[in-house]
Amino acid sequence: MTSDNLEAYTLSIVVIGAFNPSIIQPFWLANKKLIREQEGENANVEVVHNEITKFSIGWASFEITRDRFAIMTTQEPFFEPVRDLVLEIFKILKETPIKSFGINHSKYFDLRDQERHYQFGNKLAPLHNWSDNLNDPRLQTLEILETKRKDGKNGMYRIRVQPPDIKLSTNFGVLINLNDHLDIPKEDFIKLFSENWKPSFLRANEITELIWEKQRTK
Amino acid sequence: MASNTSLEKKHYISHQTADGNFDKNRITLFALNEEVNKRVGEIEMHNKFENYSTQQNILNQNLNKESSFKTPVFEKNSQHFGRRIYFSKTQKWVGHILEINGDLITAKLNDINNPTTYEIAEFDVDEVPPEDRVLISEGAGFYWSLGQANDNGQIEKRSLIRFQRTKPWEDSDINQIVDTAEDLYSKLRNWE
Repeated sequence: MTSDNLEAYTLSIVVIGAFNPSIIQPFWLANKKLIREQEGENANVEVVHNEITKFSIGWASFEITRDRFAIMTTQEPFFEPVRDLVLEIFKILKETPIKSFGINHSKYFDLRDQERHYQFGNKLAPLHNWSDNLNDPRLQTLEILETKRKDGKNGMYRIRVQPPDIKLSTNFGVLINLNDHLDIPKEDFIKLFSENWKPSFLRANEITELIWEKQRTK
Repeated sequence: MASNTSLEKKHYISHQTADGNFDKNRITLFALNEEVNKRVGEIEMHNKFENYSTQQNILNQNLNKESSFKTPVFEKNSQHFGRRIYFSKTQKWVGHILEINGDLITAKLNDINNPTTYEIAEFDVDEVPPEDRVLISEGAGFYWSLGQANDNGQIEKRSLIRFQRTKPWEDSDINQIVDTAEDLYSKLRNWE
């Protein structure tokens, strides 16, 4: 069992600050030439309001409230365009006060059979610890928090293992969520976000590889 | 029916501005509020139905048919997609145009997952999506991906080209790059 069993990889970027939801909408993005005109015209707009804006442009969906900006894509080829879009939006809205941001990786793996699925949980949280009191214990969700970041930056790193929230090839899938959260004390968002982009992907890969390596050990 | 129309008219008139025009935002807000209030009313009625189901006045309403009432389901992830496409086994490159010769584009491709290697590739203008063709110029950046797309269970190989849409550099961007370069240079000197 290796990371080759990756069936889907989705990404969301969440920015916490003070926003004006009614500004960021498909017409505005197309007008600023940040997306194709056709993407702006064909956007699926759920709501544009002073309190919340919610729409999808096919390869990315947006949800903006007064204190939270979130963009999500389920398509790996669009990870870099999503990064560019976030950077360009906040280069234009440069006066926007931003407190923190998160690069959230969701990796969906298919473990193919029941035994592997059971052993996956058993390796992460040995289930014999529970068998005295529980009949046939299983791991459902596991969450690990790094309170002081390894890279010394302000923020935290959270890993959550849970059942997948999408349909995979078999019913024996797992979802590994990696939440790379950074606070912005003094540095500006653009700089910190750009600098942290590649390291965030490297770390997400390192951690998932480590999880698979642990699976291989007896 | 007539009373409803006059009621609606009354609401709209109340949102007229001093110069007689309708305030679009206020009308939109009113319409949204109306929907929310309607839904809240329905939920309250449903709760009443559950608590006092014996009361004839409630039983007589349409709400007494439980099947016609659906409690809203809230998902953990509040973002919704009409149609989800997932990719796996994706290979991604970031490309920069080196030369344009008629319809033929020559570009340098850097592997995003393995940036130490690069390739020189040639492709036709026709392979670029029509709306991105205006962005074709020497030095322009683009992303090229190959992968397996899972479109609602249908697996197919896909190749995607998307040009970068970034605004031109400003003085502040250039200053920032110069600052970073100077910082790196000073660190290198200290290293010696």
